[in-house]
Amino acid sequence: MDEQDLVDIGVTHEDADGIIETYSSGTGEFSFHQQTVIANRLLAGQPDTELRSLSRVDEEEVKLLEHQVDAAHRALFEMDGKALLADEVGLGKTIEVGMILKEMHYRETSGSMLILTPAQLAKQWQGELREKFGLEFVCNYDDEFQGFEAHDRIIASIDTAKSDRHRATVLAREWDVLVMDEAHYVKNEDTDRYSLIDKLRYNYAFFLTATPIQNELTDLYNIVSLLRPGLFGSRDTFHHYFVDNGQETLVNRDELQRRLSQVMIRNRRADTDIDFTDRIIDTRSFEPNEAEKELYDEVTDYVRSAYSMDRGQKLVLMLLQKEVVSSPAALEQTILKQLNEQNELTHRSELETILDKIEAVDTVTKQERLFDIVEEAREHVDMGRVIVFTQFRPTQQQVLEGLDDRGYTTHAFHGGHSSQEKEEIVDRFREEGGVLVSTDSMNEGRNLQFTNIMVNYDLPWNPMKVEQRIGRIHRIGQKRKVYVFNMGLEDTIEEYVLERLYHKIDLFQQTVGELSTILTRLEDSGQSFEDEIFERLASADSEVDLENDFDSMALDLEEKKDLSQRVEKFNSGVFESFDLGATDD
Amino acid sequence: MTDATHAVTQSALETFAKAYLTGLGASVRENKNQWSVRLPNHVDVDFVEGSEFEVTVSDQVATEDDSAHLLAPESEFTQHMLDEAAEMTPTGQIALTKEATDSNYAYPSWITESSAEVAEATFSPYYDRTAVTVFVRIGVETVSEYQTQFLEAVTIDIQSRDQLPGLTNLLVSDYFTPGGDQISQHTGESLKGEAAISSEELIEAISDSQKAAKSEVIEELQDIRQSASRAATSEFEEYQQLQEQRINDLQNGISSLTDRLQRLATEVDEAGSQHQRVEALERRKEVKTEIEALESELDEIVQEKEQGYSTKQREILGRHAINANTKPVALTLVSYERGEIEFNLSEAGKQQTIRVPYAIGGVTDETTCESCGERLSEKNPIHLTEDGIGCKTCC
Repeated sequence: MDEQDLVDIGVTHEDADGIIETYSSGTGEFSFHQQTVIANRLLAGQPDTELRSLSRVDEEEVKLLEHQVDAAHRALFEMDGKALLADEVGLGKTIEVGMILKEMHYRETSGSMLILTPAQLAKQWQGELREKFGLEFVCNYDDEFQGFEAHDRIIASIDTAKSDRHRATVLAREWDVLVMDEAHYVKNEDTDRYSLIDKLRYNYAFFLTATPIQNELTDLYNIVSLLRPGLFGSRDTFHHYFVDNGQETLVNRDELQRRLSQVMIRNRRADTDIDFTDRIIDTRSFEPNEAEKELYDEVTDYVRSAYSMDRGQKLVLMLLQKEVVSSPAALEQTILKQLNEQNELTHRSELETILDKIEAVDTVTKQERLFDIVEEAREHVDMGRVIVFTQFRPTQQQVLEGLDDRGYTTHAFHGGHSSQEKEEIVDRFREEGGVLVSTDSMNEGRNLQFTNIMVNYDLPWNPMKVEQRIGRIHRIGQKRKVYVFNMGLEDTIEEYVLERLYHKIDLFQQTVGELSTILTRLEDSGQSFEDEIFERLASADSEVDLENDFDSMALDLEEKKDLSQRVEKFNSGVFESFDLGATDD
Repeated sequence: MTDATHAVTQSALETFAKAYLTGLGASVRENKNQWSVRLPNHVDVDFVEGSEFEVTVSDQVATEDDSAHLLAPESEFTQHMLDEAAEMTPTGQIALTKEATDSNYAYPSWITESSAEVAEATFSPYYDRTAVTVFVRIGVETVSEYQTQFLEAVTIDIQSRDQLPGLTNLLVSDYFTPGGDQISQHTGESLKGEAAISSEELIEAISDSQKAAKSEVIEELQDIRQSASRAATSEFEEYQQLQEQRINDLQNGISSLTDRLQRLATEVDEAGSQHQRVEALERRKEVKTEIEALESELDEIVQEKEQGYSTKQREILGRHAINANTKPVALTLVSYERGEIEFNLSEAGKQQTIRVPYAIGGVTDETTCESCGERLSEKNPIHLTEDGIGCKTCC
């Protein structure tokens, strides 16, 4: 703007007669003077509604998006610190809560914080808050966890919190902040979970869910009433006013939305600029060589017979079954451990036979085939960056040695590294390229968007873990297509899990986070995914049985997926045109 | 110079209100977010009627109980109480000694930004000096925005007239913050006779501080000026558009009246009777007058336009002009100790000692590197060597 276009500015210095006169008649008592100065400071100050900690968020670790900053701001300052964050999946609700908690920490309004999550997400929360926001929490799965009375910042599974062992101590405290992830866990007022949250005492609360309505509108009533008792009046009033009993459809939607806008924030994908890139899935099944086949059959027979006789061994047996398709090295370690640690082992001879069969494996098929993928990557991708995931350290070691022998640049990442070391490894991988071979400890909130190729060298039986692996590279900020290679051995459990389950539920094409709603349903019905897989495998009498078993599990999952989609549709109906800043009425 | 505004948070208000009310001698009985306040009979305040009243402490905007006063940011009760407190005791005095500050010394940035650690710091006060801390409120008025306020604190040494930012920071953060140090815990003593200062000295110090305060907010003032100018420009553009529209309307009006005049001329020529002719002539005269009026208005606007509507522009710019006003609202007379401070520093097993001029609040003079003479600063911190003390530049 040119100088001639600028308005004049005049500065007047008011004379100091008044204050000089006061001084001449004697200064006042200092304590009163203090209050006068403080009053002047407050009069000149602004109501404090800025996210002051924003500048302290490490931009390397987390890229904050506008809708996330806005949600955090509204939850804190417009909703008085009690909000239901109900963004659609994949928009970063965890980030929003992270910002809120960081801000509260910055303002010293968060002495004690309790985050309740589904069991399988607790460690992920811990990692994300640490890596992205520098907030340290103790998780109930940590060795140093000494109970709910012993720490000020706790992340726990809601089921641990409600257990007989801990319930009393959880309820004995008044928490400054309560965060509840997957808030639809408390949709049912007749459950222990609901009762726990209902009785918890807290000053601020942030509930998260992508599906505030899981089955019916009452879910929403229950969740919101925990946050803002009275917002909807009594249950009967709510039903009477908002649900058309004859047809069970929604009435008075505008009023419902108006009231909800006082407590709920819902960002929708369509309203944001976020655009996830394509995900290309390439599942490659390989025929195992004779020695590998024999080893697999031996282990599977052993697992079935041992399981039918001695159920106490279930976890070890499950481990063996997973390891045999991961690598002979992983299997060998567990077998040796069994042989060395348990003198009175009933299955000693079988285990020794397995050891012999391991030794008979000269060539590891997966390892050989991995070279093909890595080589393709080296030819087509910037610095040949590939991430290879495995569940087991010995497999990791074997893969690394194989790659090293062929002259690839390699990096190892596992849970044994300190945070600092992990950071350095990721930095080196970024700078030098090559192959990063990682165990699932990579799940701790690391951003690896600079890579777009990953390999599932073996597959966790927990779909959440698969999604977390993919989520390391396919997330907000990824600009390129993402390639996911799945490696499986034909005619093994791996093939069943891959082909019959994961592909059936479109696991690899789920948008980030969508899966959790399916899994929550599964968990609600008292099942564990891994147990289900193992039970079916160990109990099948024949190949045909096994196929049928897996088909029925897939069917069950499909039903849950369909249900989730139907509910999502209903949610969209309720929240369609949900006015994010509804203030004008 | 220090920005002395304080964010208006609920907790700051509560801390202030409790201290203020109890300072007035009131008893405050708390029951959750409800305070029952009883003022002594002899205390007369304007922010509330009567000596007993209820206060609802809540940052929620709505309160169902109208009989209680709401203590919350921007509530009427809060505003009245702050207004009254802000004028109660505008002048005060304090003695800041080594003991009063609990030997908590402010380390210079050339140490805090270095790798050296302070093993020990010893301050030897040599003499007392007097300074005055002035709290200057700067109000900025524009027509397009709400009034903006700044509050700057400036401390000026009476003798040297140097500014003492370290002392300002210390006072503002430790003594003039809600819940800050109570002076009675340290020293209640008044300044000694020789520390008192004359009205003339005070006037000069206040005047200096007002100018310094203005300089401190000059960038903000420029921002406000830019934004007021943008508001003025857009008002002027709107005016120009309106005038363009008016020109169009006038031209259209003149054109249609001219057509009508033509028709009336024909009517006059072809009038069937004298009466009709006279009527047509009268109407023609009326239309001519109308056209003249429109043409005159059009001429005026076109002329203005040729001059770039400069008169109007001046008027709009004038109306949007900014008036900033600085007003000293409180001042604190400060007696403080000056002397030297000795820092025993250690860095990677090496130890060195450095002595520099110091006053309560911080190092007073520029310090240069013993080895190369470069000025020590945040960007050029100290660095210990085997032989002595160097800095980032020379080591």
